[in-house]
Amino acid sequence: MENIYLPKTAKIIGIKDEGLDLKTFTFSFINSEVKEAFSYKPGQFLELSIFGVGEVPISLSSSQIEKGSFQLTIYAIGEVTRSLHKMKVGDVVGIRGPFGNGFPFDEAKGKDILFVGGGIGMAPLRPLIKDMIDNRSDFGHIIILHGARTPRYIIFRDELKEWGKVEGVEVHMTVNRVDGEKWDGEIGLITRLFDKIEINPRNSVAFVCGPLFMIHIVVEDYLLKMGFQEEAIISTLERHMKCGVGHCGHCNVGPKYICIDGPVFTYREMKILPKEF
Amino acid sequence: MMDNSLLTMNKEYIIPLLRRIHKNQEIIAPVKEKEDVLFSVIKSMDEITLDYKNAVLSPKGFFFPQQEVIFKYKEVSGDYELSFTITDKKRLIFGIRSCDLKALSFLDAVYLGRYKDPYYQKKREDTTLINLVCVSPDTNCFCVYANSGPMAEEGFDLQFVPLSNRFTIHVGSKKGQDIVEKYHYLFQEGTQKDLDEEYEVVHETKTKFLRYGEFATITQKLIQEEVEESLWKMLGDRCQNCGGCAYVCPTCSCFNVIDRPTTEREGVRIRTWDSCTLFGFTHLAEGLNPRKEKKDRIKRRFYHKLDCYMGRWGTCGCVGCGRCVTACLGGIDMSHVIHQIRMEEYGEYISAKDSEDYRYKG
Amino acid sequence: MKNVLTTCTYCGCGCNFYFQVEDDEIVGITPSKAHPISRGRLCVKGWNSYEFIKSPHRLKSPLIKRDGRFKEVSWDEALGFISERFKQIKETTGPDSLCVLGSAKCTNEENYLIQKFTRATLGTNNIDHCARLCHSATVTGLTTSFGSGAMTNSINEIEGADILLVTGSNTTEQHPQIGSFILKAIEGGARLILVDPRKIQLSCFAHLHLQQKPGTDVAWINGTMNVIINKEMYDRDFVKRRTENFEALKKTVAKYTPTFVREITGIPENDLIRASILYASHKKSMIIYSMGITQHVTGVDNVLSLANLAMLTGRLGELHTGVNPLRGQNNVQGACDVGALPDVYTGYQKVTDEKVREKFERVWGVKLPKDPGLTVVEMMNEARNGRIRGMYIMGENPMLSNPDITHVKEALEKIEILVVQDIFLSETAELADVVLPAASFAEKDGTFTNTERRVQRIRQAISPIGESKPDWWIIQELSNRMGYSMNYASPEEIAEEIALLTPIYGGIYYDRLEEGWGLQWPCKDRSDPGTPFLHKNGFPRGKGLFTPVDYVPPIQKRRCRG
Ligand SMILES: Cc1cc2nc3c(=O)[nH]c(=O)nc-3n(C[C@H](O)[C@H](O)[C@H](O)COP(=O)(O)OP(=O)(O)OC[C@H]3O[C@@H](n4cnc5c(N)ncnc54)[C@H](O)[C@@H]3O)c2cc1C
Ligand code: SF4
Ligand code: SF4
Ligand code: SF4
Ligand code: SF4
Repeated sequence: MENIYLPKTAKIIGIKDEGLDLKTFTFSFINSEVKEAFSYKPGQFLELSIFGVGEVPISLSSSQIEKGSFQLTIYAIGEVTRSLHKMKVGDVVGIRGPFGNGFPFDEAKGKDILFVGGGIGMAPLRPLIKDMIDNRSDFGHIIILHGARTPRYIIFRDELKEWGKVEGVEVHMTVNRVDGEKWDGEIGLITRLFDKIEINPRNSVAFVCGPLFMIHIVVEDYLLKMGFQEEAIISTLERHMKCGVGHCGHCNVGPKYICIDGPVFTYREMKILPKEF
Repeated sequence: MMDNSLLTMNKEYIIPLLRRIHKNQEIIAPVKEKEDVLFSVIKSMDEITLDYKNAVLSPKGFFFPQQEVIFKYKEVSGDYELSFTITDKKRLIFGIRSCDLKALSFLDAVYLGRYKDPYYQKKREDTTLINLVCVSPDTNCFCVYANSGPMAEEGFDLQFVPLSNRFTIHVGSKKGQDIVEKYHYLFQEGTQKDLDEEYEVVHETKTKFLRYGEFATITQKLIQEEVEESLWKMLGDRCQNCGGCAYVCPTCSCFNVIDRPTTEREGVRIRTWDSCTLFGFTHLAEGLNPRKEKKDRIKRRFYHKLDCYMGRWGTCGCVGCGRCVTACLGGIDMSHVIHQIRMEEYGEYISAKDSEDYRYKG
Repeated sequence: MKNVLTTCTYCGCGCNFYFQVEDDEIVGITPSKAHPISRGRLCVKGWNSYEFIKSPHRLKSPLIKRDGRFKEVSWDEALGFISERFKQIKETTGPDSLCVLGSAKCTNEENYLIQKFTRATLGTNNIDHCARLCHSATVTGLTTSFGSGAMTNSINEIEGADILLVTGSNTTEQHPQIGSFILKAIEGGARLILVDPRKIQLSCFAHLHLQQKPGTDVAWINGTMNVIINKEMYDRDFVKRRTENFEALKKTVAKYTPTFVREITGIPENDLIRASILYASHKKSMIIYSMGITQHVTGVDNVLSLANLAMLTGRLGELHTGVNPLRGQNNVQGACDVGALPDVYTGYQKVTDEKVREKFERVWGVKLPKDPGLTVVEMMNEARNGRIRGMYIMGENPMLSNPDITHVKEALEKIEILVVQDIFLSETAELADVVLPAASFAEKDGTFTNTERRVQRIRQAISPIGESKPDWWIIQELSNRMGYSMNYASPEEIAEEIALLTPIYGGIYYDRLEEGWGLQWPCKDRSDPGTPFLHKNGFPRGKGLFTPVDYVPPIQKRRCRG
């Protein structure tokens, strides 16, 4: 019987600074069979263990780069995440997963795509964006909106630039404020960027990730008013989580478990959950 | 023999039966400690008590312990070695009550759903369950309203119903059948007369419940969001964040996970019972907490037990064992809440009792 | 698998629960349902009280500080080192340059032994513990008024009371189980008069919430008595037969008219009058208070005033009445009872009382010091002056509990040899020269006395962690090395000695504690069932003494954890 609680060990093989307290780590499983068997979908997450400290759920932020290695983009905010930020290349962590449902991909084919990523909310969107760009011909127009606290917090900066150069892909960015950095782009909330884009809501899918209040504003004040269908608005939910497999009860909201029924939900599904935020 | 057939056994044979089983299997049974009754692994037959209402805690802890090691970790030359043990012990629980038996099916739904919990699963498979039907319910019990007792419909390997001088016995599984076959000399075929007497005994028991619980309409009201927020506020103000309601509840399955280093390079990961009424349950690292207020957490508890179970598994998540009635420091419990919600209909949901002066000001 | 019944180590409620033990490991906790306080309930601390036992931070071996760093040593070395240093100090500057702190967390037997060690082995009365900082006002005040400084009634009487006057106690937070009794009483129709400057959980359920300005307690209590006397609602009979000095009280409270009281306290006249009438017009009126009353410069005055109020109305000496201080730590009551105080032996028998001292000298076989010793605060002062050279701390953390931490740190650093016996390396232990690892409450036998004077067993469930040892064993070993022989085989033998020497504990023996749920002192002899409520037929001091006190504006407030 497989023990779903037992992590597999992985080594840190790369660390990239993405701004203050934000790093993207590249990991590779130590055991070669595990490496071989590992596969996942954008929107799924892993449970990352630092032995002796604890375990946290983190979205996969890479698309499958190479068998057995993957990336996580992590904000240092509490015990486990801070200890991870202190680790170096070569250090060993534990990994369980992937868990969760992941983003719909085939269903979005043939449509225009709108990505709205606030802060670290870009992390789970990144593999999806990459996969869509790799399969460019399957999708219509692609618009990417990213909002960050200050210019220093813009994540995947180089990639955003690269994506913007691809034919039929538009990238817009904004920052809430400037903290002494050099910035000649937009300043203000992510919703400002809606003035700059044109999209046909009837034949589009919107992927919205970020802080909950942002999701509410973007969806309720913009997307729905623009005419997006409730099931064409897709988001991920974040909850206190322990086991990742629907046992521990922490992420249970209404009749749904974020870990096994989500974390990806359509707005139609989200709407009927108890209004706890 | 297995399906509809009824067996009986002389009451005096119960200890001889258990003694024989005990030769090659661990037995967990109600044991009297001072004036309290607890389920315990017994060493000898004279520890067992048959004179009890229900144990302080259900046998939940024998499947989902209050504290359980998930694995040990140890750093070995740049990697970690993880080891775990899954107890491999054939056990028999004698004397579990029907409510607690039904509660196990809720734990099954959670732990043996899409993902299987290996620790729970093995213990569950290795355990034989013999329930003993109650004939004199405790003051806080209301299983009859939760459709979980006094007799069980399923889930048992053997079900014993105490009549005047004998038990009627129902076989619920292959495991139960094996016991009957192995010790066939202690059992007898039951007759219509036994069945009639059983009916009378159970029927009489049903009239002895002091508490009332009415789940269907209450659940409906919750689902329709017809319960005033002020009720949750009032209940929240009584809650003292002890977590007891979840710890004692035979259907509560939530846990926390903690790493406990023993040295720099090794340690254990454990899980412990957790409760959704505690602040930390949904607290997020960034400082947000969707259930920051006590009223939100109390509301959550009852929504989970009633609405969520109904939505997900089509049944309500309370078996009416009455333990939260005993354990709650604030007097907020399933039976109380049901009562309050019903009172709400009459516009007097604050239990003013006889005292006009009792005022809850919020 | 065994179930070991024991008493919670966190607060003065004294809940009982069972540890489930398998292979020397605690695997679970079950509250006792039949226990009169627990009733199948525990608070979050009780439910999780096994957690700290297995903490990786437990001390596992004796430590001696050398060159500023702790080094693990054997028991033999640690105890040898301490006894040599203590002996040397005692010989050079006398026993009074040594002092000892007992502990509100340790058992009665251990506190008994540590005060015996202080007095008989070291030869000084310099023994105290943290009750000083929390409830010494209670002991002083209630002893003055009644002759006995403890909670007069029992916790489960709360449920049957008509009026609960709760002041200076955030009961649901600090004494959850008692808070639960209060909620239950209210549900059953009792009325809660809450007097507290803050809005607390109980406020939502109070019939009246009087929010006085902090530090004005004497004023509102005097005001209440003013109303009761003016309305002739006091108990003339009781006042006449059971008390003395009423006229003086009457004179003092005369000026505390509701208007005058409002000016001082901010409590509206009407609320004060209603509260006074409510309290006086019901027979079953209980006063419940805690550290909000005692932790003031005027703490003793506050306690005296509450005692005055209860005597005035005769709400004493009966079920569901009384003046009920809620003691903070699990065994702060017991630590006081068994004499971990500088001026009294066990059972509040004065060290200055010739007869008493002779009794102790006879049983202990040693000459005892005559003068009361130093209090915690005095110890710290003397240590700074260099007059205290050696200190032994059993299970207390003055670095956390004392009001002025820099002062304490300075004092402790100055001490030549500081010994701390604890289960964790506390802030205080970090400053120590020798640290001794003690066994936790799950690893030893003994008794705790809860806030309602109920003496209850704790029982060993598992073996001590690492090299740790029960506190009583450590004290006994040290005493033997210092030349005063102790030879107890178990805490039960120590309890027997307490019973022999202590009238209020005279009938408290382990075999009796096996039946029922502990014994409430006073319990004179083996036939005495104990005393659920005090002062039934009079006060220990004879007549209850009214001690009129005037309101003095607050200058400074002290807080401590306890
Ligand atoms: C599906 C999902 C995907 C996520 N993806 C990312 C990501 O890609 N990058 C990233 O930086 N963060 C992500 N998070 C948030 C991340 O899990 C938390 O920041 C992290 O758990 C904080 O743990 P800590 O030990 O550092 O903080 P502490 O405050 O010490 O947290 C203690 C424990 O509480 C729980 N907890 C606290 N906050 C959260 C939270 N926000 N979400 C879930 N559990 C929490 C965890 O079990 C954690 O072990 C994700 C969360 C979820 C649920
Ligand atoms: S909610 Fe209460 S009565 Fe219902 S099963 Fe749980 S503990 Fe028993
Ligand atoms: S009631 Fe609370 S603790 Fe119990 S199972 Fe539901 S969410 Fe978990
Ligand atoms: S048992 Fe009662 S007081 Fe304790 S957490 Fe549950 S609801 Fe709150
Ligand atoms: S109320 Fe006090 S004695 Fe009872 S469990 Fe809580 S801390 Fe322990």
